[in-house]
Amino acid sequence: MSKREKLVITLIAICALAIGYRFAGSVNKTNHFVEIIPLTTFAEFEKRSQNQKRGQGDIFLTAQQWAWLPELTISSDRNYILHIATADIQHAFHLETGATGQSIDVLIQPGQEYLIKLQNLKPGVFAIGCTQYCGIEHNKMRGKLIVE
Amino acid sequence: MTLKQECKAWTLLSVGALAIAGVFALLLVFSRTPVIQDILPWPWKSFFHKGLVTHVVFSFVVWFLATMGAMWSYGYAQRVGGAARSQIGAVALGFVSLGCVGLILPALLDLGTAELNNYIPVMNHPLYFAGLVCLFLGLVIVALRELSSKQWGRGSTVCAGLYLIALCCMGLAYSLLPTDLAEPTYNERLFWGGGHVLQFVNTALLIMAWMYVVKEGCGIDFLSSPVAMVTFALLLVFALPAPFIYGFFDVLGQAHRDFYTDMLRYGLPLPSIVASIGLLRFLSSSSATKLDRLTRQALWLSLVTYNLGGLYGLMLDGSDTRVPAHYHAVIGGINLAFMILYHRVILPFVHVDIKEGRIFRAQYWFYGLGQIMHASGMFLAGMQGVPRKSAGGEQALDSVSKILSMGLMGLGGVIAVIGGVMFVVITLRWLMKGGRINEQA
Repeated sequence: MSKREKLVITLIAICALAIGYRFAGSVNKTNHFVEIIPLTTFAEFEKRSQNQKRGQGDIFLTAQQWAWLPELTISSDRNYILHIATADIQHAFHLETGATGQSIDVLIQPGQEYLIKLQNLKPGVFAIGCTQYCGIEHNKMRGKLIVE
Repeated sequence: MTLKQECKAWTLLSVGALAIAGVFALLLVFSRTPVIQDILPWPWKSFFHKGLVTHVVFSFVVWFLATMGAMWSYGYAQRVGGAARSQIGAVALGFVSLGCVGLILPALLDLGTAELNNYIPVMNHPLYFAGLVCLFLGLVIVALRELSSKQWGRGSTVCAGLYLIALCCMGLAYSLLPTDLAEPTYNERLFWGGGHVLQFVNTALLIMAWMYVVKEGCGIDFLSSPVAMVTFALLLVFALPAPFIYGFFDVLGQAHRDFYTDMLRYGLPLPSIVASIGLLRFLSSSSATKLDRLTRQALWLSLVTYNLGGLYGLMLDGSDTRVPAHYHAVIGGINLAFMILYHRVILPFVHVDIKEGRIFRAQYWFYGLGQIMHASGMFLAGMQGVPRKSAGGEQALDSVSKILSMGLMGLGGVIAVIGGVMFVVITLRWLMKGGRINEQA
């Protein structure tokens, strides 16, 4: 092996170690902005969702094949707790970076309620997507978060 | 069966898979065309998704896996001689051919329901799953033959190891997933880990294709043996933990899901960059002039398209059209490498004559530039928030720049399809005319 090859391989090894270290650090990382609590029945969540009023700090969103309901309109001058639950199967809530400054992607499992802190909101209309395949019309599962 | 005959059979299967995908693409168009849709012998409404599954599985999964078979038989023949016989190869080809029948029939016979899950879209029908098992099993046979050579540093051996890791993940998912799970979740999770590892296989195949083409064209290894060994070893090292994750995290949970996306994010760039820099250095050097012009152009197109896809991959966010922009460019780069591999390495190896002309050269430019335009259009549209997998009003094309971006995507797509069809038609014609290989006589 030539000196040059040794140098190249050393460089590759250093890069690989650095990347491997970051990769290891990313495994099972905790989402500090998400809290998960067991949901006794979905009907109970649905009831709270239907009773939500504009201006409250707690807002509710239901994931179901293939929609996010309801369309949420919130204000940029305060923080919110977004409650999400699925009415049927696994989905994944994705909110684009523009809304809070960071991309949010949370797997939504049946039988659980997810409490997501929405902070540093910026005004605009932001896309909500499902990033977990959830059936043949999965691509149509889109919603909007309107921040005024 | 000799290894040359086996290699030719894999080539027929892989290019034939693209032809089948093309036929299904046409049937998909017909199933949405008034009047014609009524003539089709199956219910067009349910055919659309089933046809789409078959189209994707042949144009991506079967094409890539059968090309892997062709590369393994070519590499094996380099070591033991093309006239050497391998009965095991014939058995493998039999399984894969049987698998292909199983993958086609459910769509044509209107069996089961379609599922467009990631990596390996499926039809919820035992016949389709039996087809998948046969397909995978056929390649397991040749993977084991590759591993039995015990030349651990070779790209093809690493590729075989990666393939077995991918299948191991799928097997573990199958054993761990609850059977009463909803079908979309079940299928997505069944192929989630293994599907991610298959992308490591595809990257290894790309690097191998580049290396074979350069070596065959001018006898040069653009990556020295130790650097190539390290590059392939990196792919293996990052993919190796994949099966163990099934023992640590809930197969349905977020940690499990995120591990595999992170595995791609962290594991694929470095080997890709090392190989790309190696190829870039070679193509920029005077040694590259030993290659014919078209081969150089094809390698440049492959290198640029693939790395453009990699660059787009660094700027993803969720579910806009930047996601398909990333994988279309990456797959386009790999496909270009496979195209030149077949024309410059595999077809001459199996004694299939190539007649070069304007159309032959044009297919590379059509496909390469078309894919770059197609992916770049999607990327620009995605930057402006256009959602992926949407059509018509759902796209919300409310600005000139969005319309222009999607226009670029559409135009590029048409040009790339023309290039792809040219490749399939030209190569299949040559293969059919090539006749039997009797090199053992």
